Amino acid sequence: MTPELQTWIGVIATLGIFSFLIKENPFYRFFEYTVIGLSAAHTVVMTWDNYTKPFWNNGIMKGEYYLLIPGAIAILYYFRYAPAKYQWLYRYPLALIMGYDIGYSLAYDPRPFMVQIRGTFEGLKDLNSFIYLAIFFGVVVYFIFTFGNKSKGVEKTRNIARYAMMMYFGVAFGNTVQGRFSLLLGRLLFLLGDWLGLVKLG
Amino acid sequence: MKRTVPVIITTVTATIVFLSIVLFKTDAAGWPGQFDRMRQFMAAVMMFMGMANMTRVHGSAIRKRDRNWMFSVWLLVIMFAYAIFGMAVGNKNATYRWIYDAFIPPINSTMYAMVAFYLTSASYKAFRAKTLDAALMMACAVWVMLSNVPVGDMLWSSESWLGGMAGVRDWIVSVPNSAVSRGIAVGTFLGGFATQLRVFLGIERRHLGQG
Amino acid sequence: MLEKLNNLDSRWMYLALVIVLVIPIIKPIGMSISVNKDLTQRMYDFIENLPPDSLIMFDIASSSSSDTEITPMIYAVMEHMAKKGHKLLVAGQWESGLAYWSPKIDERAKEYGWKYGVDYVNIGFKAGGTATWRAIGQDFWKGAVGVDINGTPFEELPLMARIKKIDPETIDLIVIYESGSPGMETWITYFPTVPLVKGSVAAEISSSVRYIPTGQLKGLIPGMRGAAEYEKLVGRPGIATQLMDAQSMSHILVILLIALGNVAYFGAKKKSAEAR
Repeated sequence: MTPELQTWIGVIATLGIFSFLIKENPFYRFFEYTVIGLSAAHTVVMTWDNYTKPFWNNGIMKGEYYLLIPGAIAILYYFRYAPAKYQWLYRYPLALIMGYDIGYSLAYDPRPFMVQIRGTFEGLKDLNSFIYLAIFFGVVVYFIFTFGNKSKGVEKTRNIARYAMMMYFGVAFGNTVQGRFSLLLGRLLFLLGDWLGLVKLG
Repeated sequence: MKRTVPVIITTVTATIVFLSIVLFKTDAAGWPGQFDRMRQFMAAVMMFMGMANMTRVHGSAIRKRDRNWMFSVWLLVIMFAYAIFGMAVGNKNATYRWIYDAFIPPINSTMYAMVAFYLTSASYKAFRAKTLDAALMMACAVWVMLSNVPVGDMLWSSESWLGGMAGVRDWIVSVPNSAVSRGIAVGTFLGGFATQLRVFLGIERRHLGQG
Repeated sequence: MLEKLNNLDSRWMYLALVIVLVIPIIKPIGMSISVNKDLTQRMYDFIENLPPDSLIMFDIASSSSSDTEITPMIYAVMEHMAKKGHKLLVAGQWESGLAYWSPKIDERAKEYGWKYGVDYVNIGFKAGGTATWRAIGQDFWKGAVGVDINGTPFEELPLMARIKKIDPETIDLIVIYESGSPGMETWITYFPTVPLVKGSVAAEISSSVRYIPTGQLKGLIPGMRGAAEYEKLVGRPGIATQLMDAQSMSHILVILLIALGNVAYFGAKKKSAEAR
């Protein structure tokens, strides 16, 4: 199993995936299904090695036996894939996890947003900070009054917010282009450099 | 028993967890720390959920002889083989690692890279300045694209008036773009928070499924 | 003609794209770039101003699919850390990315002469989402289940002796390399006092910059362009710098296609109006 063979597999896989651009074909599907299968397995292996196994050895086996109770409840989650008659059992761990997550969210989630809102009003000193505040206010109004308010003030505010949002989407598009092309360049660099040796890698 | 008890479990758990955070110190020995520990172990036990889901989805595709059912067979075979092998020898094993390096990063990156092609054709076919809104969006997109690459610096240097092309981009990004993003985030947060309250109060039950 | 242009087969554009990109990859001109003062420079300055021997934690919150954006960022920041003599703790909220970048980090660490366990440690992927990170934050050893990525107990890694919690006294900076969720929200929500900077894929820049003025983010590397800027700041050009010319060409092509698409569309529209 040489590095060369690894590169060749990478090349065939890369070209196999790109072949979808010409048209749908079994070559593409093969690699697509391969990566889905391998990735699911890889997640399990990484979790097992770095987390579940050491958790068992360094936690449960060292006296944290009470954890076996939530552990037993968590096993019920697999009933999601059991025959219909028993499926409802998965709701118990789900309900417990939902409750736990909601408890945490209610306690912690508002803070970062309060910091954001406070930051918008703090330091109103130059033109930019007032523009910032006006746009922020407009966007919040836009979402709160999505339906049913026909007053002129709200309409005007919504219009300003809409123009600003268009700018936001434009920026997002421009940045996304940059990101996706970076990834494509990476693949081309792999083909031209690692495989064909036409480029010296930086 | 099937629906009401889970709803009660959610509300009671959320109340206890919330109060424990408010009333007790959030260190490892305190109640919030103990709850985290329990949740951690639940995640450890639930580590096979992804594979279980794959087995169900692709098992059903095989039973129904869907169009790609042969690939589903392949997927299940390599998924179980790779997982069992990996768990037996560990993720640091040379052969395990070799298979990972050969397949996962190249295929994953290529799938994401393909979007670049679709963006190219979408730019040609869908990006039309039919209204003022669309024109504004297009202008900002073009400006950001140009100023994000060295050509932008060449056209209008960052050393010159207004910080050049990049200077104007920085203003767009840090004033209107940032303000909109903050506004959207606040809207999303309020929506998410309201949903959580509905689940907490037992009004929202869709996550529990049918039956 | 305009009709034809309007219905141009996408595959011609794909071919044009490949041709346009291959040339500058093989023969780059090396156009110079400016540094983003609001984002990249801020992050550089923050790391620059940390006292030597500071502890910086990398959180890999991306999959290997963002390789070309994230890899040069990791390398550039490691170069900066090597120059300043900082210590490194590697962790991951995403398992796939951590598996991919760990050997690359090891390779660079070897080049800098960093000793594993003394100058840097990799704790690997820890499942369990925010619950795990909170548990790690409260009691690092217990929360991270006591072993590193290789299964080595923390007791055998001298650097771990100084890491008992995630707080500003222990960890001087968290650098998150992120391409999605779970990501920086984990740190902003549960560890607001620990300084945080972000190596961001380009698609996430728009939604991340709002954390800069409030100080929730101390700096940000914006995509591959940002990585090239950081490479310039640390004085070691790498893949990002090498690919910047090709990136220029790709953006120019997209802009030309937008212009051409509009010409074809409005031209055809005008023609059909005249015909009526």
